[in-house]
Amino acid sequence: MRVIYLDNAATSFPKPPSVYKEIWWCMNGYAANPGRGAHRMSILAAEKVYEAREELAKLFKIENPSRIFFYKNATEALNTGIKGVLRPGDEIIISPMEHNSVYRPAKRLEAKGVKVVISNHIADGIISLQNIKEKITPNTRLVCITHVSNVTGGINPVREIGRYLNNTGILFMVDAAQSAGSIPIDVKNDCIDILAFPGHKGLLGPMGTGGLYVREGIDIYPLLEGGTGGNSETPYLPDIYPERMESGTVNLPGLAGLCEGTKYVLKLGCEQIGYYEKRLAQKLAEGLSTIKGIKILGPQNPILRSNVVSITSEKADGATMAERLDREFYIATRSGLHCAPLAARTLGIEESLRFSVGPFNTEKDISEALFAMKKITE
Amino acid sequence: MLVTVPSVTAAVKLKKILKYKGIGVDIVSTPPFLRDKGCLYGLKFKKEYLDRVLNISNSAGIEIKKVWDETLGGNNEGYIPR
Repeated sequence: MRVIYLDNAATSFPKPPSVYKEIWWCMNGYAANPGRGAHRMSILAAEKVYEAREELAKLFKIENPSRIFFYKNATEALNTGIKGVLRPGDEIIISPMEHNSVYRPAKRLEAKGVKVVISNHIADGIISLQNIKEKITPNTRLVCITHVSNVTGGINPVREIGRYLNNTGILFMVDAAQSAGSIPIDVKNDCIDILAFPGHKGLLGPMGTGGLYVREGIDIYPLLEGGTGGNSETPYLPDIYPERMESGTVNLPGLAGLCEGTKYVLKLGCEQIGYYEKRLAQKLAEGLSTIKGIKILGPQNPILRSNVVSITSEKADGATMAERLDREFYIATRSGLHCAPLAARTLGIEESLRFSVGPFNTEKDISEALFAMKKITE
Repeated sequence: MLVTVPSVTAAVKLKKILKYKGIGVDIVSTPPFLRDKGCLYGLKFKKEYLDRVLNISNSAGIEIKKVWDETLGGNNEGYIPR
């Protein structure tokens, strides 16, 4: 029985064939340590890592690929961004829909004298520029918001907020965990200073990959110190990027796969992928909304929503529905808080069932999911 | 000729740019006398390309640490101060 995978917000599946092939080829052909030698295999490995930076730079319109730093996921990238720029006395503004990967590192910094300010929202978790403006104080150092909510799929007005914050001295950081690869991001036009992204979701790479872009000129300190492959005689990290931010061996096979995943996204086009996913998600949302007792969370206007459709039902809780979808219909979804208790509080829910569409889903997948949901909730 | 750069990323980046401009280079480990702080990477190329390599690296914002002419001697005799 074929599994209908509708959990792409957790990690995308499947990946393009080129991703599997490159990882296999890397492990078999050039899996030496990049930046830890000058033999041919090591240089080949370093070239592949740089190629991955270049592809991502093309996608996000980043001028200097060396300002992209690789980590194991968006969570590590977000932690690095948040903890790397905030100092005692600073204030950070976050949205009321943040994932724990933003909320927890921010809250942790409260013990070090950083104030965490949660913005209001206009409706359904979507924030406006005004919601941010009203929380700014002279101590605001960072505004960090999710581009797309992992709970509702609601899209925040990143460009509008970025352009307002530009040249104010306040850094603008975007969590692109749910948007990278399906919504165009242009760090220059969107005035994004710091961008965190996973490699294994919309960018179609393997798990264990993610990254952080930090604009040149921003004083950021990494979470880790260690070997950087150069300047080894000094006891301190070198002032050379990306090495300063990437102590230790990088995940070469993962990055080789991420490189190919990003190429795939570039080839198909981020907008096209996003449009396709949105269309399927909209079909799903429309079908679900006809089922009695089901409530669709987040913005009802499809323009404001991405590939995610989250619901609650009067007939069953999310966990029960997810389990029945899996056991009886081979449909993979996710239930619970989605690591975003702040969002749950904002929406006034205890949990939800989330469907998240990917580029390899089909209309038939959606029809089968709707059929299954009708059976489960009848 | 050999120029040293601060990191493997800088070496790979410069190699790509030079290749695009028609200059073939090899990335190599640098001899100990060319290092001032631990390991460094170097790019080896024909002497006739030196000026172009220096100009291109400068335009690309890639720092050249040292320049060494191996034909002038097997040790630090070949070091060309800049």
